[in-house]
Amino acid sequence: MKKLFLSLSVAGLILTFLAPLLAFGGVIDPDVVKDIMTAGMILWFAGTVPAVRTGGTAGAK
Amino acid sequence: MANTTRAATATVDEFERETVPQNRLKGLRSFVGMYAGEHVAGTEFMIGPLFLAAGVSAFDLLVGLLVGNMLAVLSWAFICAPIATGVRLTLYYKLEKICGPRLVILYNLANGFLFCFLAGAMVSVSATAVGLPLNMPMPSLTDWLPTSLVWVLVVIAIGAVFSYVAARGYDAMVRVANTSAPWMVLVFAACGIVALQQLGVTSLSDFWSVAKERIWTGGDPMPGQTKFTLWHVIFFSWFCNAAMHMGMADLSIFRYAKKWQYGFASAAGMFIGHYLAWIAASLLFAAQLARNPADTSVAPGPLAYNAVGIAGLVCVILAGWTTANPTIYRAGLAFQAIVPSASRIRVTWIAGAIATFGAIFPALAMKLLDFVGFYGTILMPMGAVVVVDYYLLKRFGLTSDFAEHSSMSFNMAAGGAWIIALATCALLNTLAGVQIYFLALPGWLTAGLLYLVLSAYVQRNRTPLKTGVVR
Repeated sequence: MKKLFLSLSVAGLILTFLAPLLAFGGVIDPDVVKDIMTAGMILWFAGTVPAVRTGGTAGAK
Repeated sequence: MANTTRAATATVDEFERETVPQNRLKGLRSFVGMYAGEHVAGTEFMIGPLFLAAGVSAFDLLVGLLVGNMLAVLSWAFICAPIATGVRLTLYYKLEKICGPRLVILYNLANGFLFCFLAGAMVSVSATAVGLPLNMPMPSLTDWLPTSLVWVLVVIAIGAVFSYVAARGYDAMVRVANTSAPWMVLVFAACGIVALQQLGVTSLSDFWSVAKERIWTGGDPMPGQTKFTLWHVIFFSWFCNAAMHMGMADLSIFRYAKKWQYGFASAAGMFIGHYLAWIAASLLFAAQLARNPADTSVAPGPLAYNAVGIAGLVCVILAGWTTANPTIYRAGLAFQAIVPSASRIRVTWIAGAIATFGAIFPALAMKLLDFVGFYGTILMPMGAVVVVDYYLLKRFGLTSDFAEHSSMSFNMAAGGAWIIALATCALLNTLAGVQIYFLALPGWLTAGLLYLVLSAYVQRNRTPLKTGVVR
């Protein structure tokens, strides 16, 4: 389960990081950024909150 | 800004009246993580736009923040951390030894109220995000009084939730803060990147020309704001956390550091929170003005939502919440130190009520730059007292920690230095027209000098009961 949580949180961070850069580079439409960032947020918290609750530290500093 | 919060450090309440033992010292990574996390606060969303409203130019902002933040890091590294690792005590206990318990009560009172109003600014920030789906009218730069009944109700609701969580203890919130921090940093960066695109920057080579001509043009400030120059930016970014570094509040943090050089870890907070985040927030406001020059409302919720959608809205709420909570909690602790018999839950609710009352008035958030300057000016002189007590008193044949050694409850040398330094700052402000952003440094120097002179006078007339332990 820890690996799953870690994967979710890393995927969330990557989406959050890449979405604005892709829009800046003209690869995706600026409006799509909002949807990707929402998805990134959901993945990040889906990965980190259970990990922290169960004593893990996935993603948390 | 920072907020005075220590969300990431659950250890600060330990060893409150003893030195930190060697086996409890922490490595560099703990400090880097803590500073990086705590300086991504709700108030960063306000400060960035307020720079733009102050008519700052691109060069003044980018260079001023660089210089000011470097000076802040050096203050932590060369002034605060060496004393912290030398004494390994909390500021409050160190002050009690120097000033006596009664003077510490006064300090706690000032600290508690300032914490409350800082938390109030964070409640205001979160209110702009919660109020967005309710079509709440957002306060503009010149609004001092509540703009609508909805604003008041939203602020009261948020204040009640924050106070409830703080009163219940904020362990869960600390975990949320730690969990959110890396994501929030990326959302701040994303806001900046998206805003740059909205402003017409299509490549890095465009940045400087757009920055000078369309973003930070250096013109007149907006109504109700003070014009900011390079010096304003330098002094503001240096002293916005003055209470923490030269004011010595972070003795409580760095007493856990293995080496004083860990003071440089503060760079993580300064250059992520007070450089990247402030600039990103400023860009959000610039993008809003580019869309509609008449819309001068500084409302972090809509600003972030327009750039990155729901993620931005959640980031604003979390940034406000995760920092307001421990701030309210700490204000409660400061008040409880004054009345030890009072229930911690009750004093935390009182602190929350004061914070919420302050948040009802948008002036608190719209005048945040001034409030931060005021906050540093009030608390920083006591840091000078600690520095002089630690480094200089013995060299002048005087006794350090004099209140402890002479069983004084109120050391007039420290109290006098603090009060006269503040009076000097007030005179500089009212008679000489020195703006509040520039008062912290003269206040600090005045307090240090006065403490040395007054200590010589006080100690000549009163012999210490016990001697030996100094520093």
